[in-house]
Amino acid sequence: MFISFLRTLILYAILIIGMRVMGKRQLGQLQPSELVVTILISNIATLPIENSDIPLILGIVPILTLMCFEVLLSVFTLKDLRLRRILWGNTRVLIRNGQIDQKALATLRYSVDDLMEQLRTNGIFDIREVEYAVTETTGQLSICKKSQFESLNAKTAGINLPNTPPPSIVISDRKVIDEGLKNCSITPKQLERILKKEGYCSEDIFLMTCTPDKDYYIIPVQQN
Amino acid sequence: MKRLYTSLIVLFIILSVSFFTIIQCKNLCSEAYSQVLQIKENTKSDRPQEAVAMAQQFYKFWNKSKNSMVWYIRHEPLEKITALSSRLEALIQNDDLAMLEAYCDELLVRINELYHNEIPKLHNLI
Repeated sequence: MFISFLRTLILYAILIIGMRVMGKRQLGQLQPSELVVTILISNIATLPIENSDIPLILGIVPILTLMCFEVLLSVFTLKDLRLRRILWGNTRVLIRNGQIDQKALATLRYSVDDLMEQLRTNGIFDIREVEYAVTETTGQLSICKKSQFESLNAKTAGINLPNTPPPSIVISDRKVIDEGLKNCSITPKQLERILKKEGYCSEDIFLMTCTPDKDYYIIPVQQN
Repeated sequence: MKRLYTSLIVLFIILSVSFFTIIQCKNLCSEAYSQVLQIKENTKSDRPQEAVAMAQQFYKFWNKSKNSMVWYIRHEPLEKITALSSRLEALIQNDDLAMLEAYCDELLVRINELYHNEIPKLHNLI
């Protein structure tokens, strides 16, 4: 039993490292080859855990091989558009200028129910609001609404608003994040001064965000 | 690019280790095969003392080889060969030549299969 426990830990560590090597692609929307690799890896990993007669290396080698080839494939597809099209397919426009392309729907084996479900998932309940709908290589549907149905924003209302950069996390769970300080152009001394002004020290802060304009927001640690 | 180089290095290591394991398996299996043949010959030539010594030597050799092969070969076929090799000495001492020959033949087949299952041949891939 202890052997199973140790094998599980080892394989878990290797999977985590491998996922990091493969990169953030695996964690986001999956292309078909990436989905295949993810499923294969999870199945292969269970074999040495379940059966201690199988050497651990007979599980580790296939997993590492799949991961390495996935990285190589993603590098090649990055350079070669044709290979990308062959492996991952192409996007298809399902609705163009408000008109449904029924031939494209049939080619993709997309039923009307599938289309309406995808529209509703994107917050659209009336198909007349859609200008363009494109199905991505991951199977997701991306929607462009007609201008008259777009949400009102500052631009459409003719209001000039200054650009506000997004806030960066400066303190996360009591720890100061150096990258956040750099993004906001704040030195550690300046941060200390800000915290002192608010009556805190970094150990009291659960979350602190700040923009380059020194617009900060502090959430202190909850006291039990 | 870092990931690409890491992947290439890992693949290179995997391929190198794979080749090394095939070569090691070949050497160990060849040595084991010749030792078992020697046991058979000594028994047939009515040299039981030498056969017993050879059987003991083979058992020690196999136990040592198994410790390195267990890293990359399934345990079951290795354990079967270990079990068979443990019986040889007793069979020679009890003069059970028919059984001994049968076990030696089985050992030869299993050792041969052990090596041939490691080679990347078509029938192994399919």
